[in-house]
Amino acid sequence: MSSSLNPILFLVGILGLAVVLNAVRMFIRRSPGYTLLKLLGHVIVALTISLCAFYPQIAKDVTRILGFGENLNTLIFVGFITLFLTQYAQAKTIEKLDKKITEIAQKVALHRS
Amino acid sequence: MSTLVTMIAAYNEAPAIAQVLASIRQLYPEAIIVVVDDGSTDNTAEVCRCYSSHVLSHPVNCGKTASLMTGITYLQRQELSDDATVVFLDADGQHDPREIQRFATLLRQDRRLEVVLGVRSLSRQTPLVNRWGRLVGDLVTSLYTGDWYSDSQCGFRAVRWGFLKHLSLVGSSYAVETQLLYELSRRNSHFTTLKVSDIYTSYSRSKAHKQGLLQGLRTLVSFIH
Repeated sequence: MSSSLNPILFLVGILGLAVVLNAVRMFIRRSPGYTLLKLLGHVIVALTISLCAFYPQIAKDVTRILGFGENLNTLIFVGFITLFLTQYAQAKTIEKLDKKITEIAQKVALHRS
Repeated sequence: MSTLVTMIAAYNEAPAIAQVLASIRQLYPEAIIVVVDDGSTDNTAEVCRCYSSHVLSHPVNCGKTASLMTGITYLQRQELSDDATVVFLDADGQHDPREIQRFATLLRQDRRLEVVLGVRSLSRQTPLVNRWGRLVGDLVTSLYTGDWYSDSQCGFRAVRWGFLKHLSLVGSSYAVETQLLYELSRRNSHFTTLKVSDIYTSYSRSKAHKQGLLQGLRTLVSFIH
């Protein structure tokens, strides 16, 4: 942890940890609709935020490791990757649904014949 | 004489399909006419039922591949002999029903043949976009099958039932033409080509292009995917 941690960043880090603890609590209590996937999603996002808040240098270190010159480039790159993955996941879902609709339509046509 | 089956996939073709079906019925009274209405929003299905008792209707539009697969699945329940000839043609009058006999004759004369592929003659009538579309379609097909087929996207073709009954078509778009050729190459089956007329009526020209350049690219994407 940086010795000259910004108070606001510290608060953000604490909030992030609180979100993680809350997420774990909801999962343990088996809150309705709170799946393992949701837990993982919340924990990953909140932990990342906390990590960046407590260790602001981490963004620069990641940037250096990946070979980018500026933090902004890293953010943009990560943003594009995230968008691409989201689009790909949606396309796969649509494809599955399209296939199911086609199968149902074929069955209906054959049943009515 | 072996059974003759004609199979047509139709989507909103009420203006043209009546003439196609009437011609087939008049020329080949004993033929089984199977029409798959692919979720038409006009009265295509009702028109077809005036000429055929083998009309299947999708509740929603699913594409030509799915339509023909529905038709093939329907035929599997009809207990056809392996020698039966199934002729595919378009619903919009682009193919001349009088040429069906030529397909059937070729299959009857040469028992080794499994498929007869129609190859449309390019004429001055053929729109430029269709010429380019054919070229793209042929290139895509050659990449996919490893063999060169002229006019690979022509829907006018005849297949022996013994070959067709084992076919499983996937996808929903116009990729059906290429899938059949892929099976032909994969099984190393005997086939021949037959020059057929390419009829362009004002009706068919007015429709959005079925096999234009964009459709060829979409077919390519669907195969890659």
